[in-house]
Amino acid sequence: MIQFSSRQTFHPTLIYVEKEIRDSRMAQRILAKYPDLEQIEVDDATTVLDLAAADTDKHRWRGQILLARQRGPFLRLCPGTQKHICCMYHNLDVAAGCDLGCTYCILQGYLNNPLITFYCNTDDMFTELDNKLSRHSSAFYRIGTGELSDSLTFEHINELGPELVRYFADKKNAIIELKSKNVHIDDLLGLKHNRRSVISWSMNSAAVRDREEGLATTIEDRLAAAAEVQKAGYRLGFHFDPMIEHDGWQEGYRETVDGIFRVIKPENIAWISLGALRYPAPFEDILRENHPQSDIYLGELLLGVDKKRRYFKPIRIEMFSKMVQWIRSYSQDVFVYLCMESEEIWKKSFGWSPKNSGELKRMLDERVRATPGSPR
Amino acid sequence: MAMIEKKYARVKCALIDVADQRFSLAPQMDASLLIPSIREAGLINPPILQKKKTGYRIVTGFKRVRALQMLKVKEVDAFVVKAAESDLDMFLLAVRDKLSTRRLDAIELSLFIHKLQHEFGVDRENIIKRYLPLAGYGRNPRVCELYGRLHELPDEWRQTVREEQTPVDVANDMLDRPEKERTIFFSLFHSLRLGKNRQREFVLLLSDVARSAEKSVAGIFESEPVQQIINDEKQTPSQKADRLKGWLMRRRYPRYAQAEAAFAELIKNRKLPDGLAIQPPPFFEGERFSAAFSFSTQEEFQKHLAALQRLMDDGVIQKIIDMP
Repeated sequence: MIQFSSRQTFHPTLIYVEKEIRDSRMAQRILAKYPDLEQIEVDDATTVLDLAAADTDKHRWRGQILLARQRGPFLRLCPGTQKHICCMYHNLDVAAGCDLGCTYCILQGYLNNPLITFYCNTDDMFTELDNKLSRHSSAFYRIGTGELSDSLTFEHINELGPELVRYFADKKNAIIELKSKNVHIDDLLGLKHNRRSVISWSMNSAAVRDREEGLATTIEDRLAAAAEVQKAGYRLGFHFDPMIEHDGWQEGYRETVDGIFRVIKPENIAWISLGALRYPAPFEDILRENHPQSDIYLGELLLGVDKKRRYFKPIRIEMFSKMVQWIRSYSQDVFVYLCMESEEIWKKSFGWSPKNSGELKRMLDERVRATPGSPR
Repeated sequence: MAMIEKKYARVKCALIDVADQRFSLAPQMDASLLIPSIREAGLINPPILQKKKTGYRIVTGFKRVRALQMLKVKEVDAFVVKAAESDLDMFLLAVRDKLSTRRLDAIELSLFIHKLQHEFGVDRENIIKRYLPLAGYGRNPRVCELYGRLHELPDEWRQTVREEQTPVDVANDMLDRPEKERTIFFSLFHSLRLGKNRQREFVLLLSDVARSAEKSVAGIFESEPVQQIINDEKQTPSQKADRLKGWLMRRRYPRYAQAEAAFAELIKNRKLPDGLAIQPPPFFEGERFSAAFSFSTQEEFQKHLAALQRLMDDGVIQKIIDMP
């Protein structure tokens, strides 16, 4: 196992398992890893979820995991946000919840219970993917598991990464992106991936990581992990999202950009995305209550057309322009895009804009659509 | 809860311990208001008393008994229950009696939750499951969090919460603030006659401005510009509230306030005719500016069009579009 000083390894304290998926491969794998842990079998996962959701003492549930059946579809088109350009990404919901505890994490608003849920009916998931990818063979899908959870933070528990990498290795019309702030990459390194998997890290300034990103690994460790993944031939992605305005933000973000290009070859970078801190207005109450020590809500965050709070326009434009400038000082070719921003912000930050979400999607697809080549 | 046996009896007022507030939800009550009614019509509803080793304690009718004692009435007809009845049952009887005529106010609800948990040993889960529905609040755990400590507020705050002048969330926010801050907010709310939403708005704004400036709320409140606004005798409370909000907004959102001022200055310098207005999108988000005018004659219509054309010719429209 590669040594990373800040690697975060979550250890469950109790396992609830839904009866009907107890025999699934994933559930069996997880249960076998923790033979000494209390395991509670439940007929229906929703009873536990409801109980946890209703409990005001959320700390009581910390460390407990639920092995459940995904009742809805695994694959969903990212809902984007109205009147903004969206990359038309697909989310694959393989788990819900995260152990890292970032102050700004929007999951605090989306998920109403503290249990970390692993959806174990992966056979259904692969069938659903088979159907989708074969029925729409002319479409191209960028799919990621980092929406309702961190893609790699539970890798030591569910070992799903290698299954996904192997599955997508021979897919012509899809890639999988595993996006993380953790460094559980060990099991990904020896796989035949055919460059159909993009391993990505959510990046920030070191100061934001220290103050706002809870148990997430250091920026140095994320970069060291990225370097290992590069060696294994994968394409990489970096997501500066959310960028947060703070004292010394320019130096902080510049250092992280410098760090990326010190260890990663531009031609191995599938994309870099930028997004400034934003959240639905009611989320601010959650933020204030859950993280009284954080002051990120004190930025000049104003209500946008989509009812989300964002930094005042000139602040965002300055942040994005500076980032592009720093990235371009290393590479003219790395594809940089904005997450959920308007055409105006694109133009004022980048000097150009995709016409619409469809065009942005096509541009991103092109970055990874190419016939798989040999690892560089 | 089994049916409680009550006997109707005449009881000596001197034997009733009015200091025993175990079953009361309103320790600081004003009984004097009842005096004229008792004088005219006598006591309409008998209190419920519980027999103690010596004398009686009040289950319901604290105000009535106090008023009778103030009137120096010697005896009262009351329902008396046995000393053996449990305290929890007596307390619930008192609450049910209140609920038979009206909902509990926020402070009563707070005491209800507090006493159940800390004096009658009911756990939180049971409070939520069994007793909140009894008080008409459903099984919502958030009610315990929001209301559970309101009775700890100082008298003046309790009064405004009771009268629904202060929203529960604001009152709750006050609980953990230093006394000096509570006093500042109390005086601000009352001197500027702020409604519930504006109270929320000012608490947030003042707190955020203070935190951004690394000062205390008192530090901001006592600063010269704020004191000048508050003590300006020429202005109405609502004008002062608007000015104070403006001052706080400029500190909370300095770059936005600057852009807003620059936009206003640009328009003001053009001396547009009355009835013609140009507006940026809210917070300058979105891309659409608006120009609106009203008219009643062709000449007026023509004047507005000419003014708009001048803005275009002088490059002002482009400047507006490029803002901020």
